[in-house]
Amino acid sequence: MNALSSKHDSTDEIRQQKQHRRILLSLLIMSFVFTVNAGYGVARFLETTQHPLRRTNYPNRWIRAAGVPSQAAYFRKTFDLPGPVRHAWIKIAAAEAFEVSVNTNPTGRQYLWRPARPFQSGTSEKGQILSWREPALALNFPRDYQWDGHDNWRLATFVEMTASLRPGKNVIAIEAESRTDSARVTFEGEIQLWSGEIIPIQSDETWYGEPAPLGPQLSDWTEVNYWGNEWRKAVACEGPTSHGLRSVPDAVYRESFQGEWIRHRSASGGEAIVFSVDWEIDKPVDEAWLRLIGNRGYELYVNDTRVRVSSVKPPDLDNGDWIFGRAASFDPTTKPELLDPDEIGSTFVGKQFETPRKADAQLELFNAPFAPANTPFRYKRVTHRVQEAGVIEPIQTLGESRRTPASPDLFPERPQPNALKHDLSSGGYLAYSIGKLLGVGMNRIEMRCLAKPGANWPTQMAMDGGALDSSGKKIEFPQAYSWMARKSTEPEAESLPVSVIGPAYSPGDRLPSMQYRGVALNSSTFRTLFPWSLAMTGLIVGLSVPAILAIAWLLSRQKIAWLWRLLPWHQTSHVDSLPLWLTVAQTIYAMMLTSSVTMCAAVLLETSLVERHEVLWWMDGTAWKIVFVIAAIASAGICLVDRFGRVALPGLKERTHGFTQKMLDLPHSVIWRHLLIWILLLGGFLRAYKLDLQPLDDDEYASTQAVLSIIDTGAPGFVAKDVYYTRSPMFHYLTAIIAFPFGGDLWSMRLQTAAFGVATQWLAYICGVQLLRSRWVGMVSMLLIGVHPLEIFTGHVIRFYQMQQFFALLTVYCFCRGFISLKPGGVSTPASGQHHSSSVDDSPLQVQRWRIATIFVFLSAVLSQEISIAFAPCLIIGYMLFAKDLGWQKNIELVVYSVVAVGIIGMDFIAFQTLCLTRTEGVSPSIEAAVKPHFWYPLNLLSIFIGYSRLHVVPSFFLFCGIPLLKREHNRNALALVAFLMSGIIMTNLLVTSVSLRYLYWLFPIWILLSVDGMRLIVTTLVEIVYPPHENLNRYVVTSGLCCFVCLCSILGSWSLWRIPGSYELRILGDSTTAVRWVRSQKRPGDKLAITEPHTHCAFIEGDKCDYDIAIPLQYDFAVMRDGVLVDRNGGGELISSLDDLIAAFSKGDRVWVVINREKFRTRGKNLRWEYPGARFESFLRQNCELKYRTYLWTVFLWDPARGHYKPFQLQE
Amino acid sequence: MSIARTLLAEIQRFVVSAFSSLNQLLFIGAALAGTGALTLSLKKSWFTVPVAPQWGANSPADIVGIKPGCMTVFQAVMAIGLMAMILSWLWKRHWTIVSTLIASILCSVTLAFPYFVMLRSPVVSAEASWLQSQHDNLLWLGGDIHNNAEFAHRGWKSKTYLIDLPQQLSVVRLPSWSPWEMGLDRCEDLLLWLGYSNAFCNFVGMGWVMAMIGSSLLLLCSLQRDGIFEFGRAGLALSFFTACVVLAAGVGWSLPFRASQHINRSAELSSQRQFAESLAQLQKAVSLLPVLAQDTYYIAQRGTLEKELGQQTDYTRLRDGIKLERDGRYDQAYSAISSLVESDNPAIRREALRGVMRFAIQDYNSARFELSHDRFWVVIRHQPCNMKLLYLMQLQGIREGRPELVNSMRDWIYEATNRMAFGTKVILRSAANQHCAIAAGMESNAQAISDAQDKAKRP
Repeated sequence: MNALSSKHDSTDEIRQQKQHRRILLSLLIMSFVFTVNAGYGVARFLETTQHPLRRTNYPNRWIRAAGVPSQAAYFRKTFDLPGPVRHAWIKIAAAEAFEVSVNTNPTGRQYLWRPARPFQSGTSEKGQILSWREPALALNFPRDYQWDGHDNWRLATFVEMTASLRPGKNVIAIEAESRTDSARVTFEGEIQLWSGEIIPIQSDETWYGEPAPLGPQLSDWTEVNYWGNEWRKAVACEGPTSHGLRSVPDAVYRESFQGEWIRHRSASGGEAIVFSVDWEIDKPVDEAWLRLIGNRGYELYVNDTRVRVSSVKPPDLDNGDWIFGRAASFDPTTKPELLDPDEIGSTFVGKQFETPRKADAQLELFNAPFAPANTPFRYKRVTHRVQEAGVIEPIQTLGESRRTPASPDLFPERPQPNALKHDLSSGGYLAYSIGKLLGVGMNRIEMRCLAKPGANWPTQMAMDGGALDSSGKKIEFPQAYSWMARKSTEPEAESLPVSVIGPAYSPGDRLPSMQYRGVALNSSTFRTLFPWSLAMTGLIVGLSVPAILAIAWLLSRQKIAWLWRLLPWHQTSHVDSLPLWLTVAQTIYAMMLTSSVTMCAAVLLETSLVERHEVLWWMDGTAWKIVFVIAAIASAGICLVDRFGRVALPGLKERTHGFTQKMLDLPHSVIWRHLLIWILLLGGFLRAYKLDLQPLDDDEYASTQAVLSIIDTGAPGFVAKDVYYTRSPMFHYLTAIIAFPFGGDLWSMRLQTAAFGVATQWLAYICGVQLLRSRWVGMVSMLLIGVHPLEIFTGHVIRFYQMQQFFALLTVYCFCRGFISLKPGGVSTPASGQHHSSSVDDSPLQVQRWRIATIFVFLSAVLSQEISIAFAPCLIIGYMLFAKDLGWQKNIELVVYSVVAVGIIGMDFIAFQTLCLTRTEGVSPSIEAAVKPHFWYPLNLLSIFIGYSRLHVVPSFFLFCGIPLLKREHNRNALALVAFLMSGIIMTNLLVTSVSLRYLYWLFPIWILLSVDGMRLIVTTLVEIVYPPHENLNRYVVTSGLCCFVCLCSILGSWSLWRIPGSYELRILGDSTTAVRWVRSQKRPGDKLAITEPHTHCAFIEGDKCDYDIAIPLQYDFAVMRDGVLVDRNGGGELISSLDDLIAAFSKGDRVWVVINREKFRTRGKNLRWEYPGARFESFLRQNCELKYRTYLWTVFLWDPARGHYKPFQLQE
Repeated sequence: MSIARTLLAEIQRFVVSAFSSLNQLLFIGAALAGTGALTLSLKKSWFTVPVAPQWGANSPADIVGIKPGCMTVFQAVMAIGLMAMILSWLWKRHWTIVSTLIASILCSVTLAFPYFVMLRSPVVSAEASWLQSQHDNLLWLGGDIHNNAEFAHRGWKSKTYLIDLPQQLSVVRLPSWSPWEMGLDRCEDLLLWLGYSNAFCNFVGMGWVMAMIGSSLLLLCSLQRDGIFEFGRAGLALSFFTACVVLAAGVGWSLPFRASQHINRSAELSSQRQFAESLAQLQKAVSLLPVLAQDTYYIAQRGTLEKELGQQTDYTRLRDGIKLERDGRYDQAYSAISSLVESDNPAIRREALRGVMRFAIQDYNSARFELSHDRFWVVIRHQPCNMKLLYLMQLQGIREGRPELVNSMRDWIYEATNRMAFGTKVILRSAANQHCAIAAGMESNAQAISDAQDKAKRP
């Protein structure tokens, strides 16, 4: 007995020793993790102390256009300048977008882009862009998020306007645009004249503002002579803020250039010259800047550090002799040089912008310099039988007449190859922010100008600059005579004082437009800070943890018991059986774990927000400060829970146990059911609220038209004869059945999608409970699906994606019930980690009826969206991996049902091929998605884990970290879900011939379920190391609960949930609906309606009839031949696929309403995008039609022959 | 006799066991399919890029394919692996842990193939990237096909202008700074540094696809015994596979960073006017990442450095030619550049041909059709699969009233696109047939017009 007892004791002792060693080892590892984590966080925070952002006020009122608040507002102000302009600038903030034009010349802009694109995407002032990071996932046929836009107004934009102003009458025109009904803008600026007079520019009621320039547009509203006498005054209004941030030292824009030309005293024109100056700075610098003008390529150095900025610009003036391996590596390899209409003989010579693009404001020459008279060769070569009948000599063949003409080869100017041009001779006026590179003491500025062999003009440059100390006091830049110059070709060249020529800028001169290049990078900042922070944190942790443990050890050994008595709770009974030093180790581990989880969640959150305006919160360090406080509070809280739990204050333990038990029992309580219902209601509300406000997108119109047609005729027919919608019969017929009693009302159609969205939420909960055996996982997954911005958006569009997602998830659920071992009801909570059923199910309950259900639910998924067929191989793999054989009888039964399902799918395919598929008249230049094996764009294999705007980064982190831990659970369902997710991603990418995240939408719920489960696994695994739930239930529950809560907050934060409420007040999509409805309200009998493809169905549904389909370029997917004429398959309108077609339509004598999607033509502002198709077309519209109405991204033009205005084209055939 | 009996018994046992369950049957089917696919992968090409023969191409029939040298090694590894898999099964009559490990290795090896092609076989990968670049240049929204769609039906093509060539040939993009600053924004680059680019995808052969399918199926089969999936073995295989992939990716990713360090150092030395040292650093970068030597910017940079050192090489000659072009001395520039199209250095040759094509496009856009015609032919002899060029020559044929040229170029396009994997090639073929319809119209051949239009609809 004694021997047995002693053996038992010895085993216990060994077990205890093992446990002690495990805890100490874990503490060691956790210390390391904490050190790295904290070091990284501290380094990131310290790095933010050098951020370029500074607060700036918006001193003037916000203004909007007169009348009813509008989405597009036009402001203009004319004024006389009594003399030449020395300097002019403007600081502007808009809600949400703007474009500033001076005397018709667009000088600066911030266009509206989809919020899923990176913040500042549409900014013209490239140097003021905060981050040049490319989107982690480039947008490709995106579906929008239920988000409002980026808060562009948080960051002011500075625009320099000097070169565009001239003595006499001038006009500044500002266009503001917003997704909401109130486009607003605030600005301030100055015009400094050489006479010393300063003319302020400020947003106030002295400006004229109109929602849209109504009435005849005989001239451009941005022109100085535009007749705007009927314009009303702008209205002062409330803006989103009275202050914002700036990323540029404002003196760069506020102050005029003061530099003086300097040269080397004796160097010849071709030599390389190094100019240098020492700049004494006696106080720490807050901001500093340099502006320079040079006539050579150069390298700029500050304190021997090369001035380099983040940029995607190709090699340029400041790139020196080096073009390889720097920012130029960002150049997309396939990006061609821009089409130059002057070079290619376009009909719009000099009209790349509406303002002549080759104009020279300095010379006040606003005519195109390359007009036909100057380059006759290219414009006379065009021959046409009709127009120039006599040109073709009868003895020549047609081909010969078009070969090289006999005219002398004038060698018209050629564009240089951009890749290699690197032209160093043109000179430029550039500015930099260099605050990061300066220090207290003597600072050396060096400009190394390149040699230009053969040049007969000397190297010269002018530079000015300045710095501000922390109190805002200016530190003057050295005078020109302080500069030295040397010939760098001589190794030890003597530096000589420079020859000062005189001011670079004086009355009568004009400078080129300044290019602010951005903040000079100090690439070593983080590399220096991180090791330093790491070392410091390591030192603190390395010293403090052993010290605390040593003290605890001494205390537990009664070596320094007097210290123990000093503690306030020393008299309470200590109920913990473990030695004090070990319990302290546990506490420290838990504290470090909580902090590390918080810091890690913060890092993930920061990574997620990089492409959004929320990055501003991280850049200025505010967010990091909050994170540190949260981490400290969380750690302290855990420490208190731990210590109080161990000393067993009277009654406390029982009370807390009661609380813990309640938490554990929560999933089985009535509250839980209420919670679930509220989450479902939240999901439903988010999808159904203001359901009818959002305009239908192009694809949604197609489905709507098919549904309405089914309601009317029983078949999904379109307007063109014998044309049917070809896809997703189940979705369209089901929607039609639901909508039929309501007469095809929008609410009835969209609500069914919302209902499927809510059903998917509920199904995800069921999957969490029954497949992943955790009600908590189910509930959190349900919540996340409910608030996911893309799920909300897709959850109310009349499109099949939501239905497909529901049936796909149901297929997975049925498959797991039918083919994977699980007895229903095996549920655990993340807190307890104790499964109510056995964790390993040796006698699987794979029920045949679930197997059959799987087949038919999968069939439903395919019929609701055909690309679901890509899921079939996943099911086969799943069967091979997980299914138990139920005998040949049941197998044959299964095969028979499968054959039936395949037969139905086959019938669907045959119906598609024979009845629905419209044979097109050509191959479209863009390929539509289809089910066909292929392999391209491998990055899309990762797209679901990243998401547009990095939406999925945080959950994906938990997913990937959690996968290795799945094995612990022995849950075949979880493994099956992983297999489905991975194989689903691979199969969708390999079998669907288009690259887009939306085709992976059906996998979102599985991805969310696994991410949440991964989060639970990671946290509970880490907590269990020191707090096994059977021993330390309270501490386990509190610690893991807190960590899970932090992680969940990180996920929700990474989805920018605060952007959702505002999104219900604005148009997320381009607003074709309002534009067409407006046209319908204005149409007279006999008027025609033309609309850009593929919104012809919008014209048909909202405008009663679509007369013309503007298809530029012609994409045959939407066109069919009927009675010898190409017509649009949806709206039945005659195709206009060239400018000549449009002119022909105009020549018929009817008024034609032309509704244009600006996004389609890639044109968002004044400048036309000549590198894309459609620019000629839009330019013609602008010149010959009236601009009548605008909505978000849509413009309505009116061609009215009675107006008597027509501007023909030069080379119109 | 006894052997035959044993064999018969074995076969009988096998058949009985095969039909004992549907799972077993599926696994046997998968194993046979995997073996078949792997066998096929030994026969089929893994990666082929169509190029001109050494003496130049005069007709589509002259087009040949180049394959990366490493392909044979990979096929040999696959053959050995397949044999080992079969032996491992024969050894115990069922899949063992050894089989699983072999299959994991085969999967990893197959996945590593793009890296060895795109980063370690510079000439092949540069050719592939160049052709892919042409393809994208034609097909993107601002490319020739979209931009000229407005004039697609105009027989005269008088308003059809050619869009300039891509700015740069670059197989990989370098990291800008350091590994510390690698973020999610460089995900695509991380894949490129492992060789997974669209250029690879477009020219990948059936052999590689079969190797992927075969090794995956065999791995899947090796994870079961008697039709029952073994999760322990799957975990082991997954761990082993992940370890292999992570290790290989780590090695693969380290090279661009190391090369980037040398390039940064080279830039620094260049700015200190230590050109010889700078050049040496540049060459070190290339020795780490050979494909860099094919980059347009590398060639230009090297020309600049060698010029500073007073050397006369093809790099400096090309640089001089481009400088002349920049300064507007076009005849001299053309003379300098065209003399390099026979250079021994494939990168120089490609850049020189790019220069010639640039001139030809400008000639075309300026209506100097005879000049552009001659210059296009210089390029086509060396780059018979240059999609952009073939498309442009069809337009040239229409403008010059030479239907035979248009039809001939259609054949070249078909021949070249036969070797491409992307489905987007049908767009090119359709455009080619549309041009043929216009050409047939020049000869008033109604039947030919109809045939070409039919082919344009279903190319």
